[in-house]
Amino acid sequence: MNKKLLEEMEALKARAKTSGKKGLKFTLTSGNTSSLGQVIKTKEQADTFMKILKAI
Amino acid sequence: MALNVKINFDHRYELDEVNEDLSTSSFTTVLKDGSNVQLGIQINDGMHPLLPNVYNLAFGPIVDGQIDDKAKLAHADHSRAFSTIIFAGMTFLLEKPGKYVGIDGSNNARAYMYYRCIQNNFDYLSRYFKIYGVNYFVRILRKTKDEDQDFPVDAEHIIAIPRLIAREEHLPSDKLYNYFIFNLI
Repeated sequence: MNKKLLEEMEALKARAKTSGKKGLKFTLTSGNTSSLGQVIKTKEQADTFMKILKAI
Repeated sequence: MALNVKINFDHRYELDEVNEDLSTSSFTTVLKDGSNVQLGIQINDGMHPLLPNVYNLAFGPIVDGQIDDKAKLAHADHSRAFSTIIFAGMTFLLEKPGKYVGIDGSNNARAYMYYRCIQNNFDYLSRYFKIYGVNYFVRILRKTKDEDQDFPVDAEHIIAIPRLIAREEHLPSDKLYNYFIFNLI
C-alpha cells in the first residue's frame, strides 16, 4: 500500500468517525440479496466455504 | 457497457456523504450528457448470519432514498466512477482487517463487466487485494430411469467454492464466476 493512498484512506476513516452520518443506509430497489447468501444455507457449508477462502 | 475501465485510485470522485462505519457512502458522478447523478455505495453487513466475515457491496444511482442496483448509466468517466467505488470498499476493509467484500452483479451484463474490469486491471488491483471468484456447484442425482439421457440435479444442494482469479484467465460469459470476493493483502 503506498503512503499517499494509505493517508487518504486514513483521512476518510477519520472523517467518517468525526462527521459521518449516523444511520445512513440505502436499500436496493431490486430487493436482491447476494447470491452467495442464498446459496449457503447451513453452518457446515459456511464453515467449508470460509475454510477454503482462508486457505487460498 | 464499460469494458475499458482503468482503475486509478489517484483519479476518483470525492465522497459526498459517508456513514460512521464506512458501510454507506455516496458521490456525484457526471454522465456523458453532462448531467450529474448521485451514486450510492452500500456495503451490507447483514448478508448472511453464517458468513459474518463476508460483506456484499452494491452501488447505483440513488432514487427516492434507494440504490437502483440495476441501472445502466453512461458515465462520462467510467474509470473514475469505478475507482471511487473500489476505493470506498478498500477503506471499509482497512477498518475491518481480515474481512472480505463481495460483489455479485445484479445481472449477467454487470457481472461480465466486473470480470473484465478485474482482468483489465489485474496487476494494479493485485497490489492491494487478493481477488477470488466463486463457483456454485450443484449435486448431480442418480437417474430415476436408466434410459434417461439427462441427469437430474438437486437444486437445493449447492456448494460454493472460491478460487483465486488468475492473471490473463479468460472465461466465457456462460462460465463466469457466480460471485467475486476481495480482501486486502
